[in-house]
Amino acid sequence: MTPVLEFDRITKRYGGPFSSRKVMALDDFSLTVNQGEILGFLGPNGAGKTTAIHLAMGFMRPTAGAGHMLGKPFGDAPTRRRIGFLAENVALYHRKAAKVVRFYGALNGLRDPQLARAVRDVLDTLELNEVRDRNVGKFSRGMMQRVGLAQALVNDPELLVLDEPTSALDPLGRVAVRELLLRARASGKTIFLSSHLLSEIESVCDRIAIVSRGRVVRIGTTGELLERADLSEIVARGIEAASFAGDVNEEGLVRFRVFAAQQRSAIERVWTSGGEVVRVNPVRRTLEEIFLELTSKSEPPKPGA
Amino acid sequence: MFLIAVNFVREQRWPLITLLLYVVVFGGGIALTGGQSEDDTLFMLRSTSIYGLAFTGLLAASAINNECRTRRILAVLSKGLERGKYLGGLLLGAMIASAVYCATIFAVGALATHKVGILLPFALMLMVLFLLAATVAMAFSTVFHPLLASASAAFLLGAEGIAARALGGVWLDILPAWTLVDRAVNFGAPGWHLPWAACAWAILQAAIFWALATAIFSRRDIAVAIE
Repeated sequence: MTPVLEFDRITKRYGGPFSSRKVMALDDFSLTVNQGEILGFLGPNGAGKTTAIHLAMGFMRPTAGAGHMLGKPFGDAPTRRRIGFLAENVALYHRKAAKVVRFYGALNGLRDPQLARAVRDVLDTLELNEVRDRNVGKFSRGMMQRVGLAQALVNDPELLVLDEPTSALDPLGRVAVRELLLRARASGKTIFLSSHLLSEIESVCDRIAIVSRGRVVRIGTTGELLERADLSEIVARGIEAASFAGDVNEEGLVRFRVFAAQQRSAIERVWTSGGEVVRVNPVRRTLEEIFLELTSKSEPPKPGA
Repeated sequence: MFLIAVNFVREQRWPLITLLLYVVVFGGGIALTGGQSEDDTLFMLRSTSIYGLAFTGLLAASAINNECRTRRILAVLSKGLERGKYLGGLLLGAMIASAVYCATIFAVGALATHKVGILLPFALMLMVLFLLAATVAMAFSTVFHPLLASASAAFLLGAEGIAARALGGVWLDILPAWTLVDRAVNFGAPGWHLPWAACAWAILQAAIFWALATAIFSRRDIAVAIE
């Protein structure tokens, strides 16, 4: 697959040479986002997610390492015309919604009549047409976020970089954005999505990268992350639950977990006990469990790093 | 660049309108009363030119900081816009605001004195002086807080003025800050004329500071993660 966004061993340290407060935001950080996928970027506060996004957008420079976006080094201005970006806590100029979107579209080189059409379409898509003549300064945070999304989408970007796109939206707004992301992927766009909302990440992303303390601690497809290869769940009937350390469900079936290496012997024990194996599945965990496990066991940062 | 400039003027419209109202009300009052002496009119033109100098310097010094503080700069620079052009847009915006201010001074002055012949070079000279102040303040603001940037710009231009006065001769043109400010505060004095050479050096100096500001701003982090 062609990498659309690539972080190559990037380190970012805040604080100048004379600063007493130095913070290592990213530490030898590497990550690749492939064409046509939605990559979910998960991490606790302070993990370095926003720093990584700001580096990709060229808002800051790495202390070490390099990165590429659509084949060009981070910060290349002409390449940004092909990107749609939504910042966390979106801040826009206070004027009419349609004019705000038009302004950002024009900054990307769009001109009438293409610009007028793009503005109308994107306002339609995000259901903002009714408020197109209202000043965004009077909008709620959720509405402001929609306008932020509109300015990110107005140039029909190849790559969308979204930092918490649904953080201020109500459930209906979240569903709408989720559908929009899926439509964008279906039309061949690549999406780099940072979010705290695990359910959102789990439902739309092809791959998930979990970042903690400036490093990617786990990356894989959603299926790979959620299914534990080392643990299986066996459901059987006709056996004593106590002898298998299992529990009995409403249908009277006994359910117990074993390590994958012991799966075969456990099944044989069921048979020798006169029982019958109903099903064997890899244990599927929630993203929340994985997230908590990975982000809580990371090493603390080195003092003075 | 022009989009950024127009947007900047729009964002700064209230302080600009307030300053313009001051010029219009103060100057218009003098023009309408008619019985005032020419000294009053000259005093108005001189003082408003110095206010304009301070206004332009502060406007330029705070431009980058305001955009970063409000985080609006992120959406703007996420588009296909080079940092140099963005900075150019902000400077052009400050100069458009200055041009509106100078045009108002010119119009009010013309109404009060009917001396269009001398007011036009005065307005042009003010534009050059404002351009110099704006670029120096903006260059300092790429690394300093706006207040420190304004103070640094004032200090630099003041030191330049002192050096020019001490050296005299051709240095009064090469280091033009003193000459331009002197002509602004002595506008209307006998023998007043547009200091062409000083204006040319001021434009050159502004270009140097502009290049310096662009070089620094292109390398600077504009966003620190809020995490």
